[in-house]
This record gives sequence, C-alpha cells and structure tokens, in this order.
Amino acid sequence: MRFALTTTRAAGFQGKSDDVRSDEKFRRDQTRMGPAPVGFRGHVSGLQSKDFEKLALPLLDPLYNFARWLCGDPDEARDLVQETMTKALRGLGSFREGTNFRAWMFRILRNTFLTSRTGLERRNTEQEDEDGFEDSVVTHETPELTLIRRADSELVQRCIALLPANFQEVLLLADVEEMKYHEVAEALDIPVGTVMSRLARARGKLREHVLEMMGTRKTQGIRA
Amino acid sequence: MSCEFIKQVALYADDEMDRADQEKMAAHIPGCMECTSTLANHLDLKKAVRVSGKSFSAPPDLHAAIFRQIHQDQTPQRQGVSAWWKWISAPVTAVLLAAVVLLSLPHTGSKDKEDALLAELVDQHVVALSSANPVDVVSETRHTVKPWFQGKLPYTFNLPEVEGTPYKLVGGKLTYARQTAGAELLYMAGQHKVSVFIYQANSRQEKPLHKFRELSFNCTHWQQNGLEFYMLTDAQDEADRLATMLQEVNRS
Repeated sequence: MRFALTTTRAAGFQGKSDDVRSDEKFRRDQTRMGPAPVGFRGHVSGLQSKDFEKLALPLLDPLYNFARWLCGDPDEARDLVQETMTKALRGLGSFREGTNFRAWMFRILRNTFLTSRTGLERRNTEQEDEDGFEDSVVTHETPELTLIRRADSELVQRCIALLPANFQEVLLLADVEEMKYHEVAEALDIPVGTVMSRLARARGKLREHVLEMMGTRKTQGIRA
Repeated sequence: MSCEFIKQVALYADDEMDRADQEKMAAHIPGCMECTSTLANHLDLKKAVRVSGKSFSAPPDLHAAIFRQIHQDQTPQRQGVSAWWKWISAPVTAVLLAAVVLLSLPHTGSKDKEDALLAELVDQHVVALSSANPVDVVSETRHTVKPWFQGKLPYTFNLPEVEGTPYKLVGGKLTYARQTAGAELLYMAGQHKVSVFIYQANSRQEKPLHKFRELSFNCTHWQQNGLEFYMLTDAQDEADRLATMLQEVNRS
C-alpha cells in the first residue's frame, strides 16, 4: 500500500502534520537538541545528499524495525520506510545544522504512518490516557517480578504487541533504540514529561502482561 | 515505608540524571535493598524489551532500493546565482552538454555495463552483510576455501595467508554477475565485512588498483593475469592492505 498524504489528524494524538516541510516548530526547537549527529558536517543551507546517505543508511534497520512494529505487516513497513526516505530526501534543503537527524527521521516515519489508513485506524482505537509520572513509578516490588528475567523473547514480543500504540512507540524508542528522553520527545512531538509518564505506564503495563502470561503458562504447565 | 529515592530509580536506570544526582544515587543504592531490587527490576525489563523489541531487519532488497533512491534523488542545487549568469547559463550549458555528449559517445556502452555490474556486486555485498549464512564454504583457512571452487569455475586464483594480519577469512561462495560465474570471498576487517569478487576478465590487459565509492561503499578494482577483482566494504582504509595482499599472491 502507498502512504497517501492527508491532512487528517488522528483523534487524541499529539502528532503534527505529516509533511516534513511543515515542521517549522520542530526546526525552531533544534537549538536545544544537543550535539549534531555523527558525520554531520554542518551545512547551514541544508544537508547534502552525500551526507544524508552516510547518516540515513545506518538507520535503515532501526527504522524498518520501528515501522514493522507500527504497521504489523512487512509490506506496509517496507513502503513506510521508502516513503520516509522520499520525504526526508525532499526535505534535505531545509535541514538545519544542530538538528538531531535520528529523531528527525523517526519523526517523519511516524508522522507518515499516522496518515496511512492503518495508522489512522490504529490511533483511533488504541489510545490510552497517561497518569502522572510519579504516580506510576513502581514503588514496591514483588517476588513475581523476578519472573521477567526468565521470560523468553517471544513472550515479551507478544506482550509488547499488546500495548496501546502510544505506549508501544515510546517504549520502542527509549528501550530498543536507546534514545534519550529528549530525543523521544522530538521524534514523537510530545513534551519530555509526557515521555516519562508514558514510559512508566508502558513499562508497568508490560510488566503486568508478562507476569500474566507467565502465570497462565505456569498454570497450563501444571494442568498438562 | 518507601525510600525517598525510589521515584528516582527509573531515571537512574535510564541514565537521565545529571552527574551530581547520579553520584548521589550510586552511593545510596548499595545500602538500600528497596532501591537495589527496584533497579534490578527496571534493568531486567529494559533488557528484555531491548532484546525482544529488536525483532526485524530491513530486507536486503530494501537496502538496495534505498541506495538507488538516494542516488536517483541527487540533484545539484545552486543558490545565489547572479543575474548575468542566469542569462548566459542556458546557451553555455547547451554547448557544454553537447560537447560532453559528443566526447562520451564512444564510451557510453562500456560505462553503462560497468555501472550495471557494480550495481549487481553492491547488491550481492549487501546480501552478504545481512544474511545469516553469507557463504557456502565456511572456513578461515585458504587451503579449504580455494579448493572448494575447483571444478566450479573455469579458472583459479590464489588467496593470501591472513594469519597475523588484521583480516580474517570467513569463507566463500559461487556468485553470478553479467550471467557469468565468479567467486565471492568474504573477509572480516575488524568489525567490517569485506566482499572480494573474482571474475574472468574480458582481456589480458593489466589494470592497477583503483579506489572509488559506489553507493556509499568503498570499492577497489584491479585486473591482473586475466582476472578481474572487485573489493567492496564499508570500512575506510582498513581493507587497503588486503587488496595489496591479494594482488601480490596473484602475480604471474
């Protein structure tokens, strides 16, 4: 499927317009985004395509992985990554020094996804409100939590897939892509406080799912 | 009663504290069972997500498609062009273009063929980078890898001894480009994979080592003894010596 551009925004979602050229706020905010990406040579008038190649190609696997989780389908993920690259290439001239390239690319991908049919459907059905960060911090632990150490990869994958989309993406960017909070905030166009809150809730939910599934498996094992 | 530091554990696990707070936390945790246990839980969960969440790799053909997409989109941008240049640029450009076309006509065919071959080789190198089984004969010994090609190719070649060098032979496989069989050797130069393609050359002409870039990869080409060598890698200069070693062992 192709990811047609629309101006529709998913209900309740804090994302902006899909088109990279319209992301003026994002570019204005770049000055507080930390160091320039590795290999970036600092072209004030825009990124050159040879620099783009050096910066974008190492991101291909991470972008595809993220796209695959978002779309749940290999063909859609493939189209999404290609569309992302097309948009990024188109927006090269307006790329500014100091921009966090990785966050920029993930942001384009995610905004493109949101304007796809799958993205719109998913966002409209799977949103979850966030509580405050402090309320959701684990303030005690139970012996069952050590079960997570024994959870196999497939089980954790299934549990990640069960998370609401807004929790899933923040978790993937923070823990899989190992982005800092401010990078996740830039990629998702949400405040850092919301990143922290969503992350804490996402981990809490994931923990619940893992323990639930492991408990179910244990019970099934005893019954068998 | 909960420890006053307990709410900071997630920030500590995520490496999001400033240095002073981080040091304070690091000093506190070993003496606090509650924080130690919570930190262990956080780290276990983060590790589980990191391992399980990295589930998908871009298919090799997507890599190749993106390389092409980037290069197709390379359009030179000119800024700040003065008014007089705008007036004269069209006829000057036309004359230059005509000259370039006339000069390049006799070579266009071979250049296209070379580009097509390089595109094929880059695709094969990308497949080697992403494949779990990039070679058919797996061995670090040249005395195992070279004989494996006997009877499979209508020519032979020599492989250098890499023991004691920064290189490691991974293995080899039969490969095809331009509808012709060839050898693909895979080496490691540190963490970088290096593909060496050996094909029968169209002529006996000797061509010296020539380094260039193709779709972001560093390529080295040379021709000797009726054999054509292409070396592709994402390493910078680390693989240069390997090309020289291959060249030396294949001298007539």
